[in-house]
Amino acid sequence: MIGKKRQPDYKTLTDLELVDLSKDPKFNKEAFGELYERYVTKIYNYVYYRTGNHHDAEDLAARVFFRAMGHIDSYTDRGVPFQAWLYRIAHNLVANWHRDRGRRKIIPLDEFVATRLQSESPDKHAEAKEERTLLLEAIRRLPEERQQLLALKFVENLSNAEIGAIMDRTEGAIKSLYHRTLIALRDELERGSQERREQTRQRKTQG
Amino acid sequence: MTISDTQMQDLLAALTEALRADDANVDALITQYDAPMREVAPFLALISRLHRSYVRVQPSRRFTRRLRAELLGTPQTDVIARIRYLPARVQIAALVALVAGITMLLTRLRFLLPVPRPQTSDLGLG
Repeated sequence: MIGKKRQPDYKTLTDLELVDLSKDPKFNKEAFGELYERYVTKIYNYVYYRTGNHHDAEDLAARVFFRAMGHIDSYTDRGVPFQAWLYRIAHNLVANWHRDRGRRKIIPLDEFVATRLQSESPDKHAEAKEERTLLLEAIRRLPEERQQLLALKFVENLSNAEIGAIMDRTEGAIKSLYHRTLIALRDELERGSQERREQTRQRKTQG
Repeated sequence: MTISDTQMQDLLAALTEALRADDANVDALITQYDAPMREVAPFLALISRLHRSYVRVQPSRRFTRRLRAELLGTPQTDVIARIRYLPARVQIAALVALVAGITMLLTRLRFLLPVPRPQTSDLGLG
């Protein structure tokens, strides 16, 4: 019997069930709304750490959801969970953003550092802020896939298997990439540290 | 003594999980993998630094509410919002097409409108 469809309890549904309902004209808005609630903060964080500022993070996060809503009919779970599909959209938009604007060296994230360190003394606060700035600068000099891996691992707390689904690699390949990323980051920090020592030495010589 | 790359990869994955979960039992992991501390220590410091530096941020409520309304509200009528979130290339192409269209329209209008002819008296020939 085809009667009036009952509104499901969206919060209890899986992503895949919500995706199916999003394709149904009767339910699509509410179902997509639940998916939006589940992922808006995650996607925002991912984009924020890849762009380094709130303005572009808002703009790109919005584009991710507009694109996802526009293409939801074409999504089918062929081993790629909805979350991974959404992150892939975000990754492509961020990659285009970097390519179009050539803006890789924005130094971000001051306000959350301030929030997190408000209980520390001013000296410690400044030191920790400097340490974070140097680290994030070094990360921005890494290849894109390594930046992506670090953001997914440390901001989103995703497992290697989940990251593998997003980056279309095996869990083993992600482990290996993570190892190489840490080595590259360690070297990058060391190189930055050497450059700063050299600059200080030159300034002293000139002075 | 050193450990193989594969063992190191497994150890780094396990150490990262432990640090992310604020599990202090890192020493036990290092012992379990039988890894020399001089090899592991620089990675441990770096992972710990990454863990401290990447902190979850919250998008503003104003942004999340507005976006939700734009997505689920009345997207068909909200042309500005739809255009705003199109890819930059599409926006540029649309702008170029619009300018070209207006230019063509104006050019066409110029040809269609009658051009006032000068009177012979105005030319001093009458």
